[in-house]
Amino acid sequence: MDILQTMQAIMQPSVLLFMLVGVIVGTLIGALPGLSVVMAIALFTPITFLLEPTQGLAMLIGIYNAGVWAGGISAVLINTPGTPASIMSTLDGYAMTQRGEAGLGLGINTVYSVIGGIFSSIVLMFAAFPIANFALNFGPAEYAMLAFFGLSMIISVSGKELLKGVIVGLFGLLIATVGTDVMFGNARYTLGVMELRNGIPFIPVMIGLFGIGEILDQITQIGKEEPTASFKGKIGRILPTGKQFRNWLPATGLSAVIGVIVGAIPGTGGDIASIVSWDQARRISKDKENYGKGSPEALAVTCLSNNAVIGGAMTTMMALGIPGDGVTAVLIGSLMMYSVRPGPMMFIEQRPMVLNIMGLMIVANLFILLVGLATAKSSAKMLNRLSKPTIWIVVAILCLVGSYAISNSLVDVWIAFAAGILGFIFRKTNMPLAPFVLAIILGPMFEANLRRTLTITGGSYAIFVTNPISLVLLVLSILSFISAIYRSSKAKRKTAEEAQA
Amino acid sequence: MKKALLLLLTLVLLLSSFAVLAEEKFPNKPITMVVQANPGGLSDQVSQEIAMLMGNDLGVRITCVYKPGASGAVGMTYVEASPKDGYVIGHAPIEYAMLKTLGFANITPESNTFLGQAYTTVPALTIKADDTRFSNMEEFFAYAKQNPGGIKMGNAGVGSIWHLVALGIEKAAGVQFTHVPFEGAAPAATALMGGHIDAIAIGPIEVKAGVDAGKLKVIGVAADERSSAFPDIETLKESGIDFALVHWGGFIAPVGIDAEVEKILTESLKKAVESEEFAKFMNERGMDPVFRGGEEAKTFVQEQFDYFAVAIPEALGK
Amino acid sequence: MAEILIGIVIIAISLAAIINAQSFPKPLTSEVPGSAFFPTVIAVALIVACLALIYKGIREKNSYFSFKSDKKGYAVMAITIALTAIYILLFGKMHFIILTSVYIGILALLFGIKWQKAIPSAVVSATVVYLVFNRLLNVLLNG
Repeated sequence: MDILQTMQAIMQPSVLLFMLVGVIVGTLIGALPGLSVVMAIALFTPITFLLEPTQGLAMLIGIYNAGVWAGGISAVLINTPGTPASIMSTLDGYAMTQRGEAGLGLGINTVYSVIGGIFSSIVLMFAAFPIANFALNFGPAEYAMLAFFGLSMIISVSGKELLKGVIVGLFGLLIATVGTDVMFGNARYTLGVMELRNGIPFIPVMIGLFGIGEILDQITQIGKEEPTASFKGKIGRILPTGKQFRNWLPATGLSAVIGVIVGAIPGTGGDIASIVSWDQARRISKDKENYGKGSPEALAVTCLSNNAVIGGAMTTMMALGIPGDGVTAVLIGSLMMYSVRPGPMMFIEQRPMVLNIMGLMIVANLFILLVGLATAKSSAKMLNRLSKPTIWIVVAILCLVGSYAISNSLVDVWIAFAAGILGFIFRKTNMPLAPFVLAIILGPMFEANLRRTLTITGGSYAIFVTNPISLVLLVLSILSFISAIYRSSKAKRKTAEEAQA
Repeated sequence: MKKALLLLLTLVLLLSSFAVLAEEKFPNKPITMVVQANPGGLSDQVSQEIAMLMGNDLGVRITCVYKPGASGAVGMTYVEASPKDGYVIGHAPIEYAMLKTLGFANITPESNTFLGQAYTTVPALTIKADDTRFSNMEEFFAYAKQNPGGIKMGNAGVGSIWHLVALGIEKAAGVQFTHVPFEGAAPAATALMGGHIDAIAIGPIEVKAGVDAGKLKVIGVAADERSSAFPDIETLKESGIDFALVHWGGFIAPVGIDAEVEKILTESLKKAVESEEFAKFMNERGMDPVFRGGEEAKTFVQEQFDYFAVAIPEALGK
Repeated sequence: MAEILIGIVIIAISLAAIINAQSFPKPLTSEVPGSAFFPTVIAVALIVACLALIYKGIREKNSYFSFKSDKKGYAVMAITIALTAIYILLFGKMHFIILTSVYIGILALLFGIKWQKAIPSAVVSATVVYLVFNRLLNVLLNG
């Protein structure tokens, strides 16, 4: 009977209308680089004050899910992640676009984002408490090891250019130390600029590195005939085949689970989830050679993972009253405006509301499926018809104004500009970009939590092996290092052999 | 004919001058409220609520704009440098009186017009509900005395108000904690819920969910009087520990705004703070609405500034 | 050549970082790493890695920047960077729509778009961006 009640509450025209508004707003803001889903939710929260709870929540949930999905659109089309969660989607998504497979890229983004959203909603429905309580076991030691695990992937994403990848990664780690030292409170390398006291904000860095850097690279080839010119005009299919879907099941299944769990861990979001998923999926995938070069499976993995985070984060938020990520931090405030107090009591005292939220999640994803598939073909067609210079200008303006829009600060625009030039230099000299991204996101998490753990244990490192979760992550990291180095030397040997033959 | 025309002209002139005068009335376009932290936290929630209440009162839209960074220094210096037409105001929590001493920005009580104080919230000394070692203040401080450095006390960052509270409690109780800084109050509360640290002393808004769920327990409040959020919980003073520090927040505007505009803003803020809706809103979050305006407010902020100018260096041992 | 340059620049930055880090507060105890620990370790590792990179650069003599064959491309790119820097400098000091239209217009002409299409598109797109970001999304833009 609960389900019937829930459906009745949700399937109201007004609720669906506000959900649609939320989806549209989320799509717009998610696709524009620089504007984050957190901003969108914060912007529209005042409007929800005037609405009924179900209507307001419909709108916010619509924004949340659509925003994460739409971040993948710009990642695929213009190599600039619309939201931080879509960073990993640029690697394979944009490569697919360059091959003329933009339609398929957008289709995969849509289908798999929706799968991720719905999967995590179901998990929320059935396993909220076990997952939330599991997430509580993540303390400073576990966060440090999770970050260490992510950082170990610097080796594996460097491909053949191991030395350059390591240098880029280390450089990123150094840049990441700029800001206020969490443990001591002193300023490090802030050069007296107040805005740098919170560290170098990584959204402008992403925008510059991926967006501006890419167009600068393309500009140097101005007037030249594109090698992919023959692909223009062909759109092809936008949906993966049944066979592809089945082949990808192991990798995508794994990334779904990773996404939900990472989402449930407080303070970690879509970016970390998609990074870990991408690397782990590659490990078990038959297509591992193509990961990072335009593998549709890899794109499916990252798109699924960053949307699966949503259900995970909502789980922790509702079951414990703790924000699973930045968006849920704002959602807690929104829920409180409706006199709903997230936490275990919510599941007991306000059960209809909990069911409504889960139902709204599913409906939102269905909306996204419709909107996404309907626009995938036309978006790809439109992109094909635009000339390169037009795309360059559009991307430039979006990146510049977008990075300003984050905090209404010019410092962010300069950072994006500098990152753009850096990205251009890296591209030209074959220095891999992914390690830089990993380092900037995970470096601070690793250092702060390592020192925090040692502060708690009084200097003893034993906790890293006595805490089960920490131990598992540590072992995985070491394995990751070893296998990546092995793979890299194998590849080097292979190219040397081929050169001799 | 000529007379009629003249009359019409005069009438038109008169009416249009009314229109011009009406246009001059403040406010006649949207106001920007600068929030000095990220969306979702205490500052955001309070600012959004006040923005809504004041907006309804003044008849214009007040939109929250986020400028986080450097414990609020970015947002507050932004307000200081804004146009002085009254259309940019900002949220200013207690950090307003601490920034200069912390070295984040050159903000003194004279840097901005203080429109009024809006709320206070008291530090709640919180432990894990099922901690077997202690379950009230006496046992807690007894354990702390016997185990110097044994209590891992989380805080929201070095130099943050909650860190200063923990240092103050330490000194007043004659014990020694191990201080564990986090990136904010919420991560500290989360770590406590997971049992990774032993105690925190932060605002009730962050721990209320945990308390209601039975995972956390507030054993004392560091205020002069009991808090309306936890009326059954003793103050530290009642337990013999002479320490109290109250976290507060208010709203600011740039220096040099028109006196008439300042009056309109201050009165609207007063109405909002003293409204029933705001009282309910604050109570749900474990905070207390308090309005202090005009000279009283300015004196209060100056007092706080002077207090921190001494307390911070002393506490941080600089 | 590029590898040698990059190596030298990063080594210089790393050295500066290590020197600056000496002024960070020292740790209270010997067990917990202090403020200078991580930056110093990273910087040292960077220096070692960059030395290897420089060695590689000397040995392999890879050439990455084809300035000669892509003369036009690099020139256009350099102008784009300069224009963008000017745009950012003037951002906030001028009316957004005017500044952005001019910026887009010049870029469009630079990239070879005919002025009949470039100029109206520039004005229209600048206006659209303004409306979306300022009116819809509450971003603070001059104008």
